[in-house]
Amino acid sequence: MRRWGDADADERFRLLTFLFSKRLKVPGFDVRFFVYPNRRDRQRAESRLGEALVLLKQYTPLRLAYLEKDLPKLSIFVAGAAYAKCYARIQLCLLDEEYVLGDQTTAIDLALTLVHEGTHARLARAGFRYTDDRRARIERICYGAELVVARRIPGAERSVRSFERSIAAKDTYYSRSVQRTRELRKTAEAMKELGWVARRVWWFTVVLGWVLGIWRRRPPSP
Amino acid sequence: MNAEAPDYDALLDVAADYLRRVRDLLSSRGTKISTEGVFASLVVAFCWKQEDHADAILTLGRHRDVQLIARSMIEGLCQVKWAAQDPDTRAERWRQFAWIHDWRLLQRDERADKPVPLETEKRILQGVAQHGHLFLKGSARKKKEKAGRDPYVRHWSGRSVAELCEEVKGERLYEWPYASFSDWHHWSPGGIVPAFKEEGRKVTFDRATAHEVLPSFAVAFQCLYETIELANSSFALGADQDLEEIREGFLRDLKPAQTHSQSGVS
Repeated sequence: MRRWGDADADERFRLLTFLFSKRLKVPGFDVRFFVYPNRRDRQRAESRLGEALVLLKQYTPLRLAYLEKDLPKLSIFVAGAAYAKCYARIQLCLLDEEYVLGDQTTAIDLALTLVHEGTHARLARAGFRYTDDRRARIERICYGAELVVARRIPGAERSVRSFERSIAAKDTYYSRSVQRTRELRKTAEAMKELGWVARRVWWFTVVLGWVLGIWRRRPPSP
Repeated sequence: MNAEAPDYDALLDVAADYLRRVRDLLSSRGTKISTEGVFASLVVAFCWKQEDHADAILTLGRHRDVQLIARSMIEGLCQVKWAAQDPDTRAERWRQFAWIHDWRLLQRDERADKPVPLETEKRILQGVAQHGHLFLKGSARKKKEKAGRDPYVRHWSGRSVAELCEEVKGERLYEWPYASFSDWHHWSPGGIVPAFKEEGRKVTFDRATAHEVLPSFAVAFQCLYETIELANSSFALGADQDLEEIREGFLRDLKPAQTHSQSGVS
């Protein structure tokens, strides 16, 4: 595990926000919610995560045991376009606040997201490097792990179909540039809710996203 | 007073019958395992190889070389069980070891001055640059490996058979049948001498008896059974009841051999 001195800027920021977050009561993990959530949100996060961990215990105890070992810190905070992010070196899993609390997020979704991030941590621990040319393969392994677990959980048919689509997607779907465009769009969505001034910025970023998408799909120069 | 020796010929027929049943279990049901994910690919590959080995044992029948095949099946079982302890990571390791394998072929071809297409060489070297670090020997990691020596582990797991067996709690399988089959495999006196039949100064090699090959059949059954059981539990193939019936039947019908034999398999 990385200590504070060895951590990079992003990891330090995550550790700091984790440190100043409110601790939640979830057995087996050190779960913190940034900064001080209201009681309703706290209870909702606790119950959802608790249900998700019960599902993992029931359907994939081995993966849960590895998750407890590899990512004992769960931090609920803003995670950009992703639902969650794995910081294997500091043993921290970042869960997007909106995703955890969202009405459409179920305990099954959350359990499968933890399986995905746990697989990232496992691979990192085994020495597999997450480089740009390995992104697609590693992401497919993580989606594959989710798929195996989803097939065991009754009621996860929607997730199964979604993972099958993700695994079959082209490599560009997993590329860093597509990921950045997704983040850009999500930020733009958040800005749209701010008011009419921000709406202009939203339109600009959406158009920028389209242009970048077209640019990426252009045929290679001869 | 010694108990009466069981009828080994009859027991061998029973063991062969169970081996046939478990071999045909997945194919007769038309089972399909989705190979999405590298662990699924590994399990499918291992199931298929174990089935193929079982087929070879049944074809050979009363032949001492069934020990060689049963020995290989033990190694396969321990590897797949070891991989299942950390499925995605270890299966990916198994897959990426292909680069080391290809790199070794490349070295061999270069030593023999056999031309290798530049594109192939480039691809292999790129793969090794990406994944080679996963398979470095301890000495190579510490940079104590002498230049020109192969810096990579011999096996994809990075472990010996004994270590693998220990990690999957298969010590008994390793210490009893595996050790005995290894004697035959390695041409050691322990493997060859028991096959001698001495009459005065004349030595002959008789055909193997049912008693001699029965342990190989029992081990082959166990290895194939446990591999299919792993596939069944990992991918919910729905063969639980069939597997349970076969297991109960095998233990019931082969009991005379187990109680009589001192080197029985757990």
